Amino acid sequence: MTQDYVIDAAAVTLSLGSGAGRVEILRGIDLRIARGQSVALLGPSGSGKSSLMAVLAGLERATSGSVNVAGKDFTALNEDGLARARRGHIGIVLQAFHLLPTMTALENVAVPLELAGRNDAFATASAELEAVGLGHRLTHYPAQLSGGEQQRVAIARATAPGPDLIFADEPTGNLDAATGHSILDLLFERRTQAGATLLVITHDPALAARCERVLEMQDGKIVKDSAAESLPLDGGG
Amino acid sequence: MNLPLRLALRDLRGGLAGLRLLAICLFLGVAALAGVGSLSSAILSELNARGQSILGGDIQVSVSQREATAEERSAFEAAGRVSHVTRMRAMAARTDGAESLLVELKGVDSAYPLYGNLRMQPGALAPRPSGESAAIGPEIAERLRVGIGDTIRVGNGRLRVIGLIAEEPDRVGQGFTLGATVLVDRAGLTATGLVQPGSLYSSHYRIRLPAGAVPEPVTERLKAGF
Repeated sequence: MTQDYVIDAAAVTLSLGSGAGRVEILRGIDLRIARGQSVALLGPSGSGKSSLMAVLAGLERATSGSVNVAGKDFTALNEDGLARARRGHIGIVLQAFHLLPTMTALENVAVPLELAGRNDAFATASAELEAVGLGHRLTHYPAQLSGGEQQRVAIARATAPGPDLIFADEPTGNLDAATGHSILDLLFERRTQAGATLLVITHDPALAARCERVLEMQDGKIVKDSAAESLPLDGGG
Repeated sequence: MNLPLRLALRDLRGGLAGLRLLAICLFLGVAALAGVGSLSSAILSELNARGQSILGGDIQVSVSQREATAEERSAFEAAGRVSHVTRMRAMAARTDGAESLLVELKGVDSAYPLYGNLRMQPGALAPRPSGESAAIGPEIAERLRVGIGDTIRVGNGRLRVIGLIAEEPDRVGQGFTLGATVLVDRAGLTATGLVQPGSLYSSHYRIRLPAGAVPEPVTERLKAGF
């Protein structure tokens, strides 16, 4: 039976710098993620987790290897092509929220929809904010929101376009435990509603345990994969 | 309202602090444009006010390595008062040969200049050169270490320095020159022996039109005739 892989990466390497200062960040990553799967990416600081996510999200260009995401070969796309590939297909939630400070919660969520040319941008954004429990804070600016509320807005922004993939990099890193738990509940609920594949980077084993699959990275390689169809433990490279 | 404008207006809610660099660049750009415009305006204004002096006449007709024919000269004189100036590069030297210098040799007639004034620095022996004498640029005097009353060699001629040039009204209008001016009259030019077949020189005939006359029809007539 042919598996529908939303992410299919092979022999991916990422090197930055030049000459003696060159750093090998990813050392031959082979990874396939099935559509609709939730995946946790664990590993110590500097293991390459965020870099791998950046490559899979099209934010960083792999030095070598193939990266196919949602049916598109990212290695063959230029910057504009990658931006178009991300638009509407990939939602990103980051540890520091990264909301636009001069825009209201509603405008923040509407921006990706406006950029996609959606006529219903604000209506959709309003509905998303209602879904994350911020229907009463539409006109508030990020500075007027708590950390948890800001992350809710970020989640709404990521899920509003109905993406195939949601990447979350330490989504609760800047939040207290209680708020973090509620954010994770919301993140998993929204991704289920959207039917999206979720890749979440975390140090938290409890969060990892909520995912269907757990990958462990070390020194730029995937050293452990909990999936039944696991790849070789040695990620190669 | 289009999307980029909407996004820009939202971004401006954060204040104008982030636009400091833009404001500085705009200021510098406008200042540069204003400076260039001001300079250009000043140059054009000066050209308009002193154009005739700078160019040496209302109309100039130039020929290379020859003088105007009698027919050509008649046509020029029919249009107005004519001044004949011959220009060439030459070497000026001390009579002891210790120093020599590339100069702009300029032979003028009694009508020169048609506009403006030829002035010598104080101490000149005469208001203008005649015969085997020359007025020289101060740079030439300094380089050759000669003064008023001394003699310099130009070609075959030995020319007495009668003065240092203070004002040469058509100097700017000559464009790029390779040296300072040695000014002689027609007789002095002949004395140098430098104007002969094969010499590289140019003959310029400046015409001063009667008051109120417009140059363009005269120019067209001369072009059509020659």
